Amino acid sequence: MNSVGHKSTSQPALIEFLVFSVGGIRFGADMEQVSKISRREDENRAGQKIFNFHEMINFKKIDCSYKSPKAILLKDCNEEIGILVDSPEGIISRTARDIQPIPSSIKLKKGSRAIWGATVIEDDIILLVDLLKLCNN
Amino acid sequence: MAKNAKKSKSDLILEEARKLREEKKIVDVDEETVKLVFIKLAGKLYAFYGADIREILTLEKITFVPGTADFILGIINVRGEIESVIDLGKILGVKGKTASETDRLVIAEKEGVRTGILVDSVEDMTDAPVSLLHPPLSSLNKKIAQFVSGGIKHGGAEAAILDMGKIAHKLINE
Repeated sequence: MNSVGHKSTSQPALIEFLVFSVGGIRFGADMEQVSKISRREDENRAGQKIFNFHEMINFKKIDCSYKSPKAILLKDCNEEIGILVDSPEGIISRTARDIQPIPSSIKLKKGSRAIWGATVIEDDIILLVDLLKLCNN
Repeated sequence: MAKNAKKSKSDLILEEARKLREEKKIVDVDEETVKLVFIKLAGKLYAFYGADIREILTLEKITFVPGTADFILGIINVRGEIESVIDLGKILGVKGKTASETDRLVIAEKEGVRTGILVDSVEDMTDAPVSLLHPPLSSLNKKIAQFVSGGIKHGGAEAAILDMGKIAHKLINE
């Protein structure tokens, strides 16, 4: 009885996502993959390789000018690279219950296969992206 | 009161209503029917089998997903569930759609594939006698014909009946 009761009351683990926008679309990246967020200029001075997020993820249809660019430096990436994103707005906590897969009716092409799910916040959809998969593509 | 007294207008209306109900009953009993959902796209009438349609919604905000086929408009949030949205016009090779507020979103499901389909309008939902269905017209554009399983006259216009199974097949293979 106790073990059943324990299972039913256990709380799912919280996962923290860094939320940022590119081309007006909101993305979320697992904070466990992020080592640092900094200004592009600082990373350029440090000789860091910086890649534009929209070029890595196969954006074609949308104007992707960066209004407030920031470089995300990754943990555990094969190379020391940074990914340039726009307007990081904060960190959200979600559980696995709050996350849904991308519908099976959508086939993702190379690059965008790093998008692995979605979550809804205040009726707005955030696309979840695996930055390590993106940089290893 | 005389037996053959002139009937009042209301009596005549009720008599007519009774007759119509009887006629409907006769159709219901004798005719095998199929539920059809009629939609309009780029000025043309099409139909889906009602069995493949889960719900009809007004347009929600569509979130674009990068790196998808050009007929995928994106995803939407339907009461906390994520659904894909397709541009039927692009699939059929007719004018592609720019989403507008008057559009309707038809949520369809077939062979385990569920998706929202953006259409200009939903015109009608009806139980049509199977006897009125006919094979696809030979005059149909080839690109459209590959997704059509039949046709029916509705309100004086010809409607191609779309095969959701064939559309689902395209989605999972492209």
